[in-house]
Amino acid sequence: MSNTSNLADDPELVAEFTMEAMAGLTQVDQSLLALEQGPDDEAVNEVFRAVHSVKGSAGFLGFESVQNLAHEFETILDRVRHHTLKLNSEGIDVMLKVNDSLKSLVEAPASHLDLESLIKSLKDWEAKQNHPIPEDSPAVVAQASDVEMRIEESSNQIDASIVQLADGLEINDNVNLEKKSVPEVIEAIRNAFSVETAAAPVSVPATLEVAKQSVKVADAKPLPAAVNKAVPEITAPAKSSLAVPALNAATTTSTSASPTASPVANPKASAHDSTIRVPVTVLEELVTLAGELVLSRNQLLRMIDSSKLRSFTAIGSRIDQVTTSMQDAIMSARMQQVSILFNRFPRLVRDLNQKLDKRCRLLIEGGDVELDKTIIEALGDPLTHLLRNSLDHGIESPEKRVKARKPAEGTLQLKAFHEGGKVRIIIEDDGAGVNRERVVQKAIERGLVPADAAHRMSDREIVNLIFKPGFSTAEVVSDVSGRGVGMDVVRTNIERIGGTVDVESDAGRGSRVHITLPLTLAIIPSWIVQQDDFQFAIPEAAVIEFISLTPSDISKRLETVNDSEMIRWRNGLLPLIRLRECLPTSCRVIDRRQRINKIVVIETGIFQFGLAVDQVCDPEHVVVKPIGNHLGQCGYLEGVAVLGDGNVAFILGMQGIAERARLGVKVESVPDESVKIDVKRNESQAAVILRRRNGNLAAIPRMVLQRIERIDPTLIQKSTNKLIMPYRGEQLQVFELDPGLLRRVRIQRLDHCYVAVFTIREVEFGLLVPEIIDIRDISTAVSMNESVRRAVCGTVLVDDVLVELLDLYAFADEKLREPVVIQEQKEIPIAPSGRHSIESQSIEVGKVNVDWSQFTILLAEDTPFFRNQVQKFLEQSGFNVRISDDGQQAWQFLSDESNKVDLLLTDIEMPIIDGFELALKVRSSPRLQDLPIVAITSLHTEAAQRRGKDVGIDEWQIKLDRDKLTNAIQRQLLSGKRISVNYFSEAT
Amino acid sequence: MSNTIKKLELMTFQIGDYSFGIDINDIQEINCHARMSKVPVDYEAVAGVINLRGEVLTVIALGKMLGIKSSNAGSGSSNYIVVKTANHRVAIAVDKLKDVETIPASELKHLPANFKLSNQHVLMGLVQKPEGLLLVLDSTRVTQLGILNLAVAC
Repeated sequence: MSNTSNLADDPELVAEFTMEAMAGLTQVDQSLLALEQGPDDEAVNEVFRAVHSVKGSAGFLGFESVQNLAHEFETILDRVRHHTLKLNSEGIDVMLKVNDSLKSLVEAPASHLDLESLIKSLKDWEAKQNHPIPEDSPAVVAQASDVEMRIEESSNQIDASIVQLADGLEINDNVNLEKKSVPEVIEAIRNAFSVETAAAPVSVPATLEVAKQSVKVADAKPLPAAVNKAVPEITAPAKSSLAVPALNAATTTSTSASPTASPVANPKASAHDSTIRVPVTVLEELVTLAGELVLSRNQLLRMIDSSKLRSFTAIGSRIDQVTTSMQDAIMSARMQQVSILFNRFPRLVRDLNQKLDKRCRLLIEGGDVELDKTIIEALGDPLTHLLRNSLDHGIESPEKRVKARKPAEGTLQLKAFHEGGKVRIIIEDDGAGVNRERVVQKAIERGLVPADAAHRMSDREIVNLIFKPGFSTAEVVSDVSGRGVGMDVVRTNIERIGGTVDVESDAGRGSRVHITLPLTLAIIPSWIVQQDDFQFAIPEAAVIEFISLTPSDISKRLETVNDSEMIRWRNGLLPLIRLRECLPTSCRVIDRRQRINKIVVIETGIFQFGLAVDQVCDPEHVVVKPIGNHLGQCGYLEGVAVLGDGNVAFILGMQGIAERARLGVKVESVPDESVKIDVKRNESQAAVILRRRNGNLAAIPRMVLQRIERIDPTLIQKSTNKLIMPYRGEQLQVFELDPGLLRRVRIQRLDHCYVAVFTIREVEFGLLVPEIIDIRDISTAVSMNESVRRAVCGTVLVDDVLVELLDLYAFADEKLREPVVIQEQKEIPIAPSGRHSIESQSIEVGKVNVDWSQFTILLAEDTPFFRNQVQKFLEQSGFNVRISDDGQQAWQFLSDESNKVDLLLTDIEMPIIDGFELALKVRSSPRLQDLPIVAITSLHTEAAQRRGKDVGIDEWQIKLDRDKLTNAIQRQLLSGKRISVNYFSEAT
Repeated sequence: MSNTIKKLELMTFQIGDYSFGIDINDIQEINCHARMSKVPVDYEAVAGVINLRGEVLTVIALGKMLGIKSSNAGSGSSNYIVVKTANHRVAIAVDKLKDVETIPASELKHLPANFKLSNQHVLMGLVQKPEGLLLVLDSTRVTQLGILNLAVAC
């Protein structure tokens, strides 16, 4: 269940589903309408197929209501398809209605429609048709004549009512109006038309007839005006019902009386017609063209100005106005309602309530507020995280709430509204609020704030400490929160789309998260700064203030420590970066140290620094363009802005600048410059961070661990030299990372500790962890350090703190080899690992001995750390390993026919050509299409895996899970016809 | 390949002393008056960017990338060929635009083994013409260059 809800949470997947389903259902509409014209087997099949595929994908995504309705629909369609049920217009009516509801369900799966009655109407119709009447049966004839009679009757009535109406109007004109007569007239008209509407669906010609009658009414005209004059409020309905058929008849008769037009106006249908689906690319192109038009307008205006052609001035300003409004209109076309996003939260809250055993209701307000599509898309994750947090940490359990004299059911409010040209979203809960003491205490512990400063902080500042990277008060790791995404990530994500977050909290009464967002992303208010020959745009959201320094100020305010420059700012020190030094040497006008004059104080979620620039120009609302993918890879340019004068300014990515200036990297914590690996920014993996006995922090990649158990330390018992604890009815051998850890846990009388459970060669082991510091994403920029103990495979910086990355496999191997420990694992040597295999390069698989060195594996991996790790242990397992730094290199290697490769092992996230693309290329090459492909990645989502399958990846493995990986490789190499028998030799 | 395509229609142009050709089907347009802006990055083969009706395109200094020294393309006022494949678009700065020529596909030959230009994988092959060699670009590769290709020094 949780799986399906996860799927439904994937906005991309859902969007894809919605688009596909809507296209299919629209087709259904058309086919149904075609069927109304006469039976058509192909059309029925089309409808059936469309509904069937909607049902299938809805079921896959867990949209039950869609699935159910589609299922019922499909059942009936199936009968129609097999001619056991005959379609008539009533049936089509019902089906159209069902289709409409399906559409609205697909658009908003959470919306509550009365499905029961819908399904019932479908079934009723089916039941009615179950006793089909032969076509030419007397009953039909009778029915037809009956209808005709009724029509004649109704047209007579209309005639009569017209006479009456005319009379009434005459009376009206004479002012001697008897009060009674007007309602009477109206009543007569109503009767006439109710007959008409009842007859309408039965026979189209009949309605046409009626309509023609009404044309007469219209022709007799001054009628509506007269009626209006007389008694507007009462006659209004009569007027509209008269006008509609008249209009319809007019159009139908003029187009040679096509019988499809229904005289019954359907306001819903017209609402549907007023929107059309436009591909985003078309919109984007329009935005671009509008931008270009603005530029051309500017040029034109300048020319008119300089040529002093007065007569053109008027035209110029007219073009100016039109262009501006056109740009506005196009921008508004990108807007979407936040309800798209909000609508998935009731489900989330419901699921969380169950999971966490809490009671909480969600109130949603302002779902109709509109935001730019890109912002809506980027907002999904942060909002989900905030809601989870509120439920998990904010709202108390029902018992606690009752004790605190609060209603047992908590309330979570999600509001969106406009304020001052921006959109604000508020998430408010009436839970426990933020515990200030604990926040301060944790913040001091983590070294996020100095102790003395912490006590001077305002309440608000304290509460907002939770956004600091590395902050987590979560003591218990649940699968709801503590999933490696912290509040700092929420903040970074929101800031990335130009928004801000802020928290207010009343202890015991609840907390309130404010998110302020710009309406659109395509236009960003920015400051244009100048450096050397370049203009740069700095998003306004990142700028705190500007400092202008005179030379005498500089000497007073600039401090230099060990080559790092800082500037005194607001009683503190602000790291200073000279922009020129971030530019490549070839781009500097003069290769001299930049003079400090103007400083922009920058704050992003992670960094705060001063950026010295040559000149600060104007603030400008810039239209952001993507920068070519080659240029984007330089790291510090995030986009291009086309300025009003047609020049381009480059949008500075502050993260990239900070990295370029090596900001925040403590010099002493870099072990050796030569092994320091360049940081690849977008790859990270979740890791559990714990403290070792010597005080060092250590990290274990989350994906290596099966689970983390919180246990009572007394459960761990000693037997000979092994530590054993009961685990799921079996014995689990527990290792201490550092000797004596357990003793220490016992001495400290901790009432709980953690055991991280992991698997080696299909046997589970545990690792004793006294304290989990955090679970979070860490960078994969690991510095390898060969000299340290084998258990530590490298070091990584997490918030400037050096963290050792543990290699649990090496560690366990080492432990298991210790003499006292009996090697009971030997019986399962399916996958060679670690040192065991160095001595024996061939292992037994089934009955054949395989010499793995016959196989060449091509490893495509861009992160040097993983590349080396994987290469190392593959070689230990006896394989021949060739490496390439990225997909493109790998592809070049593969394309060379002289290179023999038996298996491709590829990372997914790589520059230039990623794993998916590489796999596609391989699969589409006739020579390589049978090459086994195994993906290794930290990208462990279902969607990614599915996509992997689509492009032909055979296996999907997680980085650093070496047993599984070796297994998978061996399996792939030995599977089926992919390799020739030559590689096998009979076991002796 | 040569069996399926009967004829190649090539836009020919000059960079330095070399003549090049590129399939006209992959050319979006030829632009002679876009203003190029320099980019603050350290890639030798990136001449800059141009603002083409609001879309910012990277300008490849093909001459520099291939290691042709005599080229001025990309340094002064220049002609740009905008190449478009699937999802990628780049502009190539050229010294001189020449002509559109139709060439039987069979005349497209592999590069000789001792042919040495840097990044020559962007070349599909060459055509021998009476007046000299015509180097034919592979538009897909040209539009999908990686950093390493662009960062090369001559």
